[in-house]
Amino acid sequence: MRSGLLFKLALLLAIFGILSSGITGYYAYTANRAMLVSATQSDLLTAARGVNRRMVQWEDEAADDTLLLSRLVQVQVVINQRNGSEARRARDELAQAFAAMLALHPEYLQVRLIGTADNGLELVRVDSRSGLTARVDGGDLQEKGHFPYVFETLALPAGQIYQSSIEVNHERSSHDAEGGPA
Amino acid sequence: MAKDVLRVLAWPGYADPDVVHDFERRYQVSVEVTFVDSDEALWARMHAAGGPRFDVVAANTAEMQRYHAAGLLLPLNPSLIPNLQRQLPRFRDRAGIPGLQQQGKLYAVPYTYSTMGIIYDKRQFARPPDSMNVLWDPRYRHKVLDFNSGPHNFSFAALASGIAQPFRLDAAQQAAMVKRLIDLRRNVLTYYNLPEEATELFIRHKVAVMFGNYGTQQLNSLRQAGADVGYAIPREGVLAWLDCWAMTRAARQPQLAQQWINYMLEPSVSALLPTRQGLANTLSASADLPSGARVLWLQPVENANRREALWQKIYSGDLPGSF
Repeated sequence: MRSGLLFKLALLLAIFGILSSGITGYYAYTANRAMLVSATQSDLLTAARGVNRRMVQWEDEAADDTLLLSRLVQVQVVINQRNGSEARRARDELAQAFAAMLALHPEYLQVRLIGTADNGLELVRVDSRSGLTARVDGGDLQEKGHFPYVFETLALPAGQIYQSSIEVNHERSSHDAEGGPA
Repeated sequence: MAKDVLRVLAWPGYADPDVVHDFERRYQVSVEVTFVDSDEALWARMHAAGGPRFDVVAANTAEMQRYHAAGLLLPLNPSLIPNLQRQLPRFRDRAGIPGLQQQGKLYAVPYTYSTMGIIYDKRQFARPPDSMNVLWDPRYRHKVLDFNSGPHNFSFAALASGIAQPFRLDAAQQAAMVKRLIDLRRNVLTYYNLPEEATELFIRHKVAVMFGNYGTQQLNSLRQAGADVGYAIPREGVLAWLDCWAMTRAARQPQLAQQWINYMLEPSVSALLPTRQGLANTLSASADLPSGARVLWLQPVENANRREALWQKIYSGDLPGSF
């Protein structure tokens, strides 16, 4: 009898012991998990803020570079004189300036001057891929008047910058940026 | 005893829970519905290893032709689908709609459709436009919207050019359509992909006319956004998709599968398509489609990859000399 009681008591105590350690363990686990989640969220937030800051900075820099290129004197010559040796020379010089810009900024994939005449035909275009620049010219130039980055830009006052929405580029050409970000 | 199970593969809106529940009660069966949101997803489900795991499937006429060619469908018995008698004459003319019959046997039953007509701003048109060629009209230069899709654009350009078989273009016709689509590119403001994108562009840029790839559903969304728009069916004919029900070769109980198809054509069930989905049904005439209008139900095109490759060049802005 006595040994039976003792056994039951021991069993009860053991169950309490297991229960209490189980509960303690469970609380420790949930508390730790909550702390880990909170720490990770905080890390992610900091990283996202950092990326956001860099993105804004890149956008500002790209806008400055665009304004700089647009004020080159050759741009006026190319826009106002479509033919002739002076226009051809100006286009070549612009292409060199675009290539220099692409060489300085490997993150840029393309620099173009697009006219409003001829359905938004590209006038000067230089593409960059894996650090190599390639000029696209003649019959390989394309009409871009139907893309928002042309018709929305034309609706802006002179000197303002149009920033396209960030999406995957589906345009294709001989040296294309297809499949990359645009 | 376990209830019989009917396995349905369909698009969202074709088998709402209340509709399914009524069918289950009526026939004392259980219905499992699987929804898909693209033709590609549908094709993948129908081509799963070991064959389709569905008794009935809803797909458009072009897809039905592919499924039949792949041996995935079973013929239907019209006497088990008495509601076929309730359909409009246009849909009872089974020989006139490619994809419904094969070797004289019925394989697909029309259920719902949408035309791809012309949507126009009533304030910019004294009379509704009556030809597809309005999209090329220089009076509306940069006031035109088009859908970004190779296969459809080639088909409607062919319709506008008076080509009798717009889904079967030979090389010369294809080359001529490339030129026409470049001309169209020069007349459009831009191309849209999603209906909401089209609505936003239409209103913000005071667009005059557009190719309505999403048909009357798109028209409704424009009206809700406050646009004063009309819908026109061009005299050359209008492209349209037509979704049908069919029985797969995996159907375990053909009679139950055909009872489902018949049930889909009950007036109370088909009536939900216009009210809930903004789609037309095959039982009652739609105000947006005159009874005599020429409708070209979508068919597989002569070479979809070729059309898509050419379209990518057109869309990207290639000059006419580079094709």
